Amino acid sequence: MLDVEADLEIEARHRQRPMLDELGFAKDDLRQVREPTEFELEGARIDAEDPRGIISPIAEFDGNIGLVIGAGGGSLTLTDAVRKHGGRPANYAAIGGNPSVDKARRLTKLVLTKPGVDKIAVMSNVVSNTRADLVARGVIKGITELGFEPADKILIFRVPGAWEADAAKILEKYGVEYCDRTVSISEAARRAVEKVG
Amino acid sequence: MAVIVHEDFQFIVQGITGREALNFTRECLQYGSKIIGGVTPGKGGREVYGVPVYDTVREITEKERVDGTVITVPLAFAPDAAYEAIDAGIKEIIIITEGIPRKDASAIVEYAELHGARMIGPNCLGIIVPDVCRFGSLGGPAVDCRKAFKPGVVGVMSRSGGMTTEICNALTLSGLGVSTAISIGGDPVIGSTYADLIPLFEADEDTKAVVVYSEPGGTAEAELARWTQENNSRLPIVAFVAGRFMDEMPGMSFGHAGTVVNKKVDSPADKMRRMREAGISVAEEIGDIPNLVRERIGN
Repeated sequence: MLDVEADLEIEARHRQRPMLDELGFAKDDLRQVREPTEFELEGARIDAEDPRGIISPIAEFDGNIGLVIGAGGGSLTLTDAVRKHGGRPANYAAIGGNPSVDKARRLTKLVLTKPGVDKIAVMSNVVSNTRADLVARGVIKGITELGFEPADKILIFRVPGAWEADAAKILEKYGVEYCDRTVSISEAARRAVEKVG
Repeated sequence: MAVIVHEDFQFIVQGITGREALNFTRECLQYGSKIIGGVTPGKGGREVYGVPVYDTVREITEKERVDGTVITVPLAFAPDAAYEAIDAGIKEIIIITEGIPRKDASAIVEYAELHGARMIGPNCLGIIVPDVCRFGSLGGPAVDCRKAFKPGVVGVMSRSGGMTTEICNALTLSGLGVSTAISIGGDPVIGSTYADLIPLFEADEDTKAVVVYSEPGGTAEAELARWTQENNSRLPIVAFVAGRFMDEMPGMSFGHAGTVVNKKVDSPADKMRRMREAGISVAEEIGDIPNLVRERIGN
């Protein structure tokens, strides 16, 4: 039986600290409807340890396509698009606010080492603040550190917008399949799903 | 014609010496926008890319006509910055600042309404009328902005700033182009919803159709559906609802602060049903939007 349902607004939590302390809510307790998984906790740690840009919310799903995606609305749209074309996302991420190369690197390693994940799709809406070249460098660094070839692990790279020409140069060097803004989010997701088979 | 802004639209930036504000002030100036002043308390007398900085909003409004303001100040000061702008008589207010608690946002919305001011946001990126004026930080560097936003016939309203650019880019590539694009903000309480803004597009002769990007959470889509049913609108509307996967995860929050499914009306499925019943075309895929617009305007 449900006696009470309360909606705790994250943005106003600092005003209700005494009450939340009394109720036993820790400062970082977001009280989602289920306990966070180890994967999600590690994602949150990566985000918290470097203030440059964001990669969260990170969520774990049970699929096989690793998603290194952004931004707020883009990630929602991309996750739907992958599912629409029959793909099974392994996770949710939301890159935004121009994350550092290191943050993109750590996110890539987290996703690619998740059990059941063999390949990742790196996709976003047209970016205006986040730099596409920094994302490309971080992702490639993460993959090579794990001892893999970027071209084998990246299904598709679609991060058009700011610094896209520099990103293209890096991706070409590693032979990674990438597409520009003339390829829609739907089409990029379709290609990723098709490749993973 | 255009929506909200126009060729002679002149605005100010509150919080102009902040890092983000410095960037978009430069970008707006490069895009051709008229920024006539900035405000940062304690930094009056300085200049930012040739734009004079003042301590208060009133110092500018007493001297010159100010059509609008872009507020991008630290969270704790955002409500006061908005009240200061409204008190100084500014009628078009964009709040970029993210993370304002609902209670504060509601109070600002109420205050703006009482004083006849229009508020866009919070947690939004602002407005672009391609090649005419950029009011806010939408679209990034001027060169990227010109790539993604070309003048045309489609009005765009979006709860996501990034998806505003994504959709405008697709409309530009398809040759339809954009009349006015508005990033309305991703928070649960915002100053102007789709239903508040759609009459402006209805009155704009450049706009032949409107595209709406929406997400789980809130009643804005239901209100737009009601507006469409109650008004004999000339405008075809094409909508896209992202986050359909969230229908299977009630109570989980993703993306923007307003993006959560608690009640039936919050869910993408319910939003899509209501909008379809009202005659709005709902795109199954984001990539379908330009063709749906073409079908609806018979072009």
